[in-house]
Amino acid sequence: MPDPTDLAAKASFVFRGTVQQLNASTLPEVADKSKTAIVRVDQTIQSPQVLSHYTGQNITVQLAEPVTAGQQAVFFTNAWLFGNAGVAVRSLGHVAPSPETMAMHPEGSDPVTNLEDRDARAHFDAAEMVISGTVSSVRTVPEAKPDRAPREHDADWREATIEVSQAHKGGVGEKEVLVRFPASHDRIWHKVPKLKAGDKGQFVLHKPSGPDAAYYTLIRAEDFEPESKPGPMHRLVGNMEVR
Amino acid sequence: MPTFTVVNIIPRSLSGETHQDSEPNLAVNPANPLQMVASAFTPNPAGSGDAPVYVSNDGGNTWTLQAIVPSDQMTADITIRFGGNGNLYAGILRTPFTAQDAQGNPIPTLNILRTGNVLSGAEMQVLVTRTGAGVDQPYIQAAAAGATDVVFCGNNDFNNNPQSANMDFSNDAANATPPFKTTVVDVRAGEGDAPSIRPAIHSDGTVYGAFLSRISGSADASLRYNVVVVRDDHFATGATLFAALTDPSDGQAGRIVAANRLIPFLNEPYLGQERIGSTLTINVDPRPGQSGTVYVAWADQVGKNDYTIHLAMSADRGATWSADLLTITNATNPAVAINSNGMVAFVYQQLTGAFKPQKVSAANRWETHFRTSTDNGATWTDQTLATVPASQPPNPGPDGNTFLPYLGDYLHLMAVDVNFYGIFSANNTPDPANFPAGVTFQRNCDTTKKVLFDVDGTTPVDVSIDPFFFKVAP
Repeated sequence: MPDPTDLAAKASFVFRGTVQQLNASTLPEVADKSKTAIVRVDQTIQSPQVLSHYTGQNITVQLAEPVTAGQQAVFFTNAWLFGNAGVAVRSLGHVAPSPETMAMHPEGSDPVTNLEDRDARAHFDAAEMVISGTVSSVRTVPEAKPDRAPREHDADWREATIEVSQAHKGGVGEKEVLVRFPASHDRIWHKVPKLKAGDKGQFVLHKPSGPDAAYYTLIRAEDFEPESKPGPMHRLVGNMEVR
Repeated sequence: MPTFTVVNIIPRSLSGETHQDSEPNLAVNPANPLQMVASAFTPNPAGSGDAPVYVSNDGGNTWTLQAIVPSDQMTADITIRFGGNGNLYAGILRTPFTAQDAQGNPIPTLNILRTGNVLSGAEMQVLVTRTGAGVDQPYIQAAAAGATDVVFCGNNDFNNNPQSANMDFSNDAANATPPFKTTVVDVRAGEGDAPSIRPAIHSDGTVYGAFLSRISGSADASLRYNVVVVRDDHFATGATLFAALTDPSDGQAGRIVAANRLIPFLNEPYLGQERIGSTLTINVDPRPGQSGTVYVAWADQVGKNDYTIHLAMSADRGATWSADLLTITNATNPAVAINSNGMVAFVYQQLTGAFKPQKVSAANRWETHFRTSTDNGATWTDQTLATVPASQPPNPGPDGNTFLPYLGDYLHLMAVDVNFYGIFSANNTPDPANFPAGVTFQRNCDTTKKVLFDVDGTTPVDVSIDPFFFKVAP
């Protein structure tokens, strides 16, 4: 039997559902129905925003394992198909509802928040350093400009100095940290926060690859959460400190 | 009278999305033109998993989004094309970029992908993976060749700097384990090629390639290029590849169509909110015996701060070229196609209203034009497919939700038999006046109030950039 914890780590959309019809689909675009079923979403447990409003509705599930009509199960799935008549998801596996699956998230918790918190935990674990602080200055980085013609995905690095107010992972004793971030608005980089002096919040920092560098990098949209707009990382760090 | 069909391809279940679905591409299955696949910079709406493509099985009237491309959430570039046997091929830059250069800049990885059944929902198979010093902007073309397919994927291969214009290709792409080769197509010792390297295939074995070869300049605003066209007459199966066309100036492979053109690379909102720097397209007359007729279009700066498209044509296999058949000021994203009657169609997107570099106002609009000629480009019809506000959504937008390229570094136009099929990206305000040839929205909206709505049908949704499919039956 699949381990629900392992499945929940790989699946973005987790729900308790009841199988309505085998070898069927809510979407006319699903041509091969040999491994699909129509399943009613009875309770959404963990979900991205785009799938969070299907509780009480039928969706199409491409099954990883056989099910029977009327069967209730907790399905661990990822998005597959978005159509005019609804959505279809791919199942990584399913298990019977149990105290273990009920305990995955508190009753009444927000499924979108549950997924955000899972991803924030993984993000925290993968980071070299997580700190709270304030950007004191930002400069261009001439030494990081490539000695060649410009390319569309070039980062156009900037370097921010961050005054550390609290270290949550690594950075113990650090008063200032140098952080490089891409100023480019190319599609590779556009979501990465463009820091400016005075920005205050939590920074999730990474070590660049290659030889030891005297700076960290900020390369994902989630790498900076402003204090004025706290999100999953603030929740995670707050919960860690409560413990 | 021609009939026009224009469809916003965002499915109803994604009515709440506000992504920047720019840089679109389109594949129409020549064996079954009801089956189509479209792509754009559309992320997986769930925020994880494979990158998606749009799929239609009813001739483009309705579309779904399917996550079948093996790339994390979205690609960094994608073009798609059907072969002759129902195989769909894709050239992508796979994300995340896992390699970096010494300055921490990402090194892009090229994948060439295939699926034999786009409706199966199965993830596309990886046929080619190349990284090294990096490979950028794959633009794929495919065609039937007997029982198999030929595939040519133009790309900017940093492994061969400065002669980076390159083709990855296979003469047997439908094979279970297709052999792929790679060849440099720029033989001159220049200073580096621009990102756009475009192939065009004729069923008689002729393959053209077009690229922009940099000859001088180091500052972003002063780069000068030759517009070059190469040709191979045997699907690149001979001993010397893409060497059939030489230039009279030096006898080397590659005909210089236009020399010493100023093409600034300005990776910032410059033309309206769009960047400029590498705009190129090429296509060949698909009719039997007509592979010598080829069209090329590019953009350069002819005045102080414009960005101007030029369309030229050759009737002798690229040996000599016409003067501009069309010259379009402050425009980008040209694409050309020829149908089975020899009608030429030309699409582009033009910024109208008073032009100021790096500025945009409410008076500026992006107009998408569809033009046709039945006399080899001497005279042209002109149908506006879209005329939309150029100032919305803003770039950069709040929380970095807008990026470059704004509309895309390319769009696509193709012909199957007599019909033309294409795709462009534009501001999605549901105002019928913005789409003079008509439009259909799948996503929830009120075209009277000109408002988009979320999946609940009541919550307003912000304007964003969406892909629009179009079909023209002449």
